[in-house]
Amino acid sequence: MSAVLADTIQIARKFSVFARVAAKDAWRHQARFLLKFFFCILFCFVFIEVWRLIDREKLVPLPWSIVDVSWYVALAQIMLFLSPRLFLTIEEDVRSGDIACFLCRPMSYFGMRFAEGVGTMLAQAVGYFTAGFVLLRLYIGAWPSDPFSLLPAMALMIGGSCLHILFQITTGLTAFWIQDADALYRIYQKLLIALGGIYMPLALYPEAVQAVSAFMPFASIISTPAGMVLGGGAKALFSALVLQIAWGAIALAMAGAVYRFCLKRIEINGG
Amino acid sequence: MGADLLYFLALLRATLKTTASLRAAYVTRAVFSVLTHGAYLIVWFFLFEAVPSLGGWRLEHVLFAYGLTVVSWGLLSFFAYGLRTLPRQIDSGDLDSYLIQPRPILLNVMAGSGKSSGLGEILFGLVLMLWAASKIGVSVWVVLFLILNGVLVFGAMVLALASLGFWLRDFFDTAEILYYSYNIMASRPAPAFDGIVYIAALTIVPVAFMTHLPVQAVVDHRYAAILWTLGGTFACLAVSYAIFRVGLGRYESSNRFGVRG
Repeated sequence: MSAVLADTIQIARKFSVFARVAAKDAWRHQARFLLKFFFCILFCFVFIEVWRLIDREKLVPLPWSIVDVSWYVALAQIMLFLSPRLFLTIEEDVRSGDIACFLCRPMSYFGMRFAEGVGTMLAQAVGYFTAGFVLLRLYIGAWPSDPFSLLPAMALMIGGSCLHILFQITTGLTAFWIQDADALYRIYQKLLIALGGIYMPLALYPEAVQAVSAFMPFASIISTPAGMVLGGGAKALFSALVLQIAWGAIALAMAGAVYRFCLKRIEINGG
Repeated sequence: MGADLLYFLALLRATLKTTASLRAAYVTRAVFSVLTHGAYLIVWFFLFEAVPSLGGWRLEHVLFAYGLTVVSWGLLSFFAYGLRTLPRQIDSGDLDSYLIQPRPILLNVMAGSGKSSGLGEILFGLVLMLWAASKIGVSVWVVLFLILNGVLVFGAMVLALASLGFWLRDFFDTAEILYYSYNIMASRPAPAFDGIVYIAALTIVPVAFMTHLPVQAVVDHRYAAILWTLGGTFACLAVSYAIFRVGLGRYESSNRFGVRG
């Protein structure tokens, strides 16, 4: 038992090194981060303006204050920018044949890329959750009606991003078959946008769509974390956590199965 | 000029031949791309079911702008995929071989990557635009003019962003996010761009010249907007090419080993 525990700790340590290196890399390339940050904040402002327009012209009776809705759409946008585009890295590894070098190492390629993705995401989260929130506060003009709801929202955004990274790995691995993982990622991304509630809270969707999205993982990535600022309290947080853990387990199993299948398929020639 | 055009066509033919060798994957991607863009439209239908108009923009206006951005993305990816991968070409030293050729470097960058995609986007965007144009009452010639303008502005923005790869290493992933964000931002209704966001849309993120002003011109028959659009497009092209030239001046040959056929 103690040997298993020691092995697990060693593996976790190994992957934490990759996460740390990726986080340091993300911090070192500040210009790269700042460009993405700028676009993300601009996106947030555009969507806040859309909802201000809807609210000003009284086009839809909103069950929440415009300040809370503004925070919701902003957090939902940040979720799209928080994680690195890991599928592109995996696609490039497959296309260039670099994957052959990684597979020889005494560790899982899947675990390594996941750890790198999480490391980069955490490093970026520091920027978004500090400077990003300050800029949003200045633009929106107020904190959410329950300012402390930002804390569970941040925790769930980290969890949602881990889920997003797992799905990205799965789409990235499809490069083994179709060479271009971008195509499948775009499908996933569009579904995430449509059923994740990026442009408006899921509660405003038609009931049939809400019912469909309840059985999909997309809400756990976007809508539930961002929705913390719309209220719901401890009950909403608990159900969001349970759902995220459940979807995390399913996504992990799925990505793992695809990865193992890919390992069986791979053919490496030359030297 | 004529020789350069023939060279570009030859590069394009070679790229399409490479693409045709994986035609099943290509067609599958195109079909899925049409389906996913269709699924994405659902969001706009939901929004405009609840909200009849956003600052004067109705569903057909938004779909027209969305179609324009999709078809621009598709045409750029089909004819000049290499522009998107410029940061990767810089990192891997692919420009070395272009620098010693008696052909414009940008031409090689655009069409020399051997990759092409975007057929699904072109078809989907065209159909969507023509449908929306029939609702708004815009002629096919105007649609074609706006597509040409859209591709030029989007291409200029992609070139400007990709050229940052001369300064920033390992920039490709970030650049892809930025192209996509720019493209999506251009499809948003113009009234959502207010205050500092409006200034940004006219300057550092010039989405206004790609969709907002052209749509305003055809919807409200404001011909001044056409002039602004043309001026803005020209400025975008000039600035992005200047960024590329300055960046190219900084280019250092890579020592990464590679073989070119």
